[in-house]
Amino acid sequence: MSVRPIIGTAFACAFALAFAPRHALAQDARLYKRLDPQTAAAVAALVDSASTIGLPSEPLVQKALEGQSKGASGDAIVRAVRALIRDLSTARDALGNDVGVDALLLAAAALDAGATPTQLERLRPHRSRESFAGGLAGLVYLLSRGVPAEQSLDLIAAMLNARLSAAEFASLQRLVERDMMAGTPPAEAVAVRARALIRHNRSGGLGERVRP
Amino acid sequence: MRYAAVAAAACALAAAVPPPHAAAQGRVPSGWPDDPGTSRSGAFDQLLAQDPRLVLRPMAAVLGDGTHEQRLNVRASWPAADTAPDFALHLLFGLAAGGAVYTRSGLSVDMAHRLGPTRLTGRATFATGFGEGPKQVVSFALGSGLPATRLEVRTTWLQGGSIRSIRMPGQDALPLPGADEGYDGRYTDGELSALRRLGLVSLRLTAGQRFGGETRGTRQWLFGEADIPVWRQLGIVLAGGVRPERADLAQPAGRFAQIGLRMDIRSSRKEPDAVPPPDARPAASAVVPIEPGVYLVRLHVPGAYRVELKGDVTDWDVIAMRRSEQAPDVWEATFHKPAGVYHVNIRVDGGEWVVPPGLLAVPDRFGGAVGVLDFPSMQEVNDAA
Repeated sequence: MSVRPIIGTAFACAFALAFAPRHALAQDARLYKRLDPQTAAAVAALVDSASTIGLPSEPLVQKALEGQSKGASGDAIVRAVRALIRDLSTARDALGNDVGVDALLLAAAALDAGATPTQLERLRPHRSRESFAGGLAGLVYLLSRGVPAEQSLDLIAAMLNARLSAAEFASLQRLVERDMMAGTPPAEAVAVRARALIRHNRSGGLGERVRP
Repeated sequence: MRYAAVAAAACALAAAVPPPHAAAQGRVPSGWPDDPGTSRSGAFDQLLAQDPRLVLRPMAAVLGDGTHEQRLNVRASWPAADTAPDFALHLLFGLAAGGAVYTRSGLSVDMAHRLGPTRLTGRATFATGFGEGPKQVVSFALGSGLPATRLEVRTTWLQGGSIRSIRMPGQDALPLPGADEGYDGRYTDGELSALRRLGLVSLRLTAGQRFGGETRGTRQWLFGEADIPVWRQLGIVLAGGVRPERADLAQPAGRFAQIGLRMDIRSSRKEPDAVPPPDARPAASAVVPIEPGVYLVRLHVPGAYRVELKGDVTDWDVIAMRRSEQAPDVWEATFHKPAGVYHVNIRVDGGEWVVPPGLLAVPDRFGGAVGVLDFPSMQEVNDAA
């Protein structure tokens, strides 16, 4: 028996290991360490297939670990990862391939919270703004507080148009929560506070640093 | 009087016709940046499409001469915003009893424009009434102010009716010259008010001067008002001091002490929450960037003995947060992670895993919710600074 094929195979394996993404190897380790073998294998297969279509793999692994830490069954974990892949893919189709991972995750959360892909597409022109992820976080917040999707999209598009900064998007939630604790309905509190933020921004507030 | 009524109608008409830039606003409330692709509709349509707010204010007062008065003021406002909007419509109803029995109803239109740090406001009011007060009232007010102070000049025209009992409470229908023809008059007031909040309590101090028009009693006044929230939309309003004669309200001048209620009724749609509400305890969270890739997470959890955290910042392993040395109710944890969006839950004193207070809550796809933690990049931190 010739040793040449064995040496060749060994070199190939070493080459593959050397150039494989380190996090990919770590993912597998984390999955197999925390999940039962069957679930880990199913999730790993999903992660691999997601990677081949260019979706980020770390959020998928984290979703599986989250399910395990919350006592979810193997089936529930696989379903959650599969649903996340679907939403990430839909979000990328709606917003474009050049959207960052954070924005993609928040867009997927928006879809899960009730936004439709068509509605999400309306924010596509704003995707190059630095505060885009902040805007999507604001959208998720509005949806989660029961503000209708159309109104939420209008508000967020207006705020992105006004070049609000990520910090100002974050302050929207704080202000609205405070208003709601005082008895103001969410939709009203959001409309008033968002308009005030836009005004503040126009009168020299924080604003977004515009990319050249 | 006729000119005043025409001017009031013109103001209302001007407010009803949307400005050109409003054409593209559609569902976006008045004053928003243009959002192309939406339909044209009138400002009134947009205004009335919003939820109204109804404020009832029953009150009772003791006056300086020992007499009593009771009042009920009702105001329905569109929109229902707490903060003054750029354009608002109010329907008014007032009932006064005691020294003078007077019922009035009317409408009022508010317009505002921000100019630098100040806010310019205008208000036109038209009311009709019967009883011991004017039959018709038109009032214009112009104001300006910073958030905590406000200066307003208000001119009021009165026509018809009698204001004898306002000026001479306790005396029955003493004949006055010209009383049969009714009362026509005008007065102009200037008022400076300051607002201060102490916790949930709002304190307002108002000082004023009557510049023109006939009046009985003082031409200068100073009174204070405290609005104390009691429960959600119910508050107690205490007021006292020296007030001016307001014939349009059938209000005599002089010292007074007043107690009243404020009932703030709003129409609200209750839609099911997409996720469980965040922890309602009064607490807050903060992310403090220490250096690039190192973040300190601080949570304000009053009365906790132990706070644990898990999330994708810990690969969903449970870690115990440490109590802050500076503040006993603040719990901290340091994370070495790149800037980005992360998801976390916390557990207080071994209870349920919940969304940390103050964080955006999103569904976790396992039937619960998870908090979104944003570690800002240093560039975002610098921009915010």
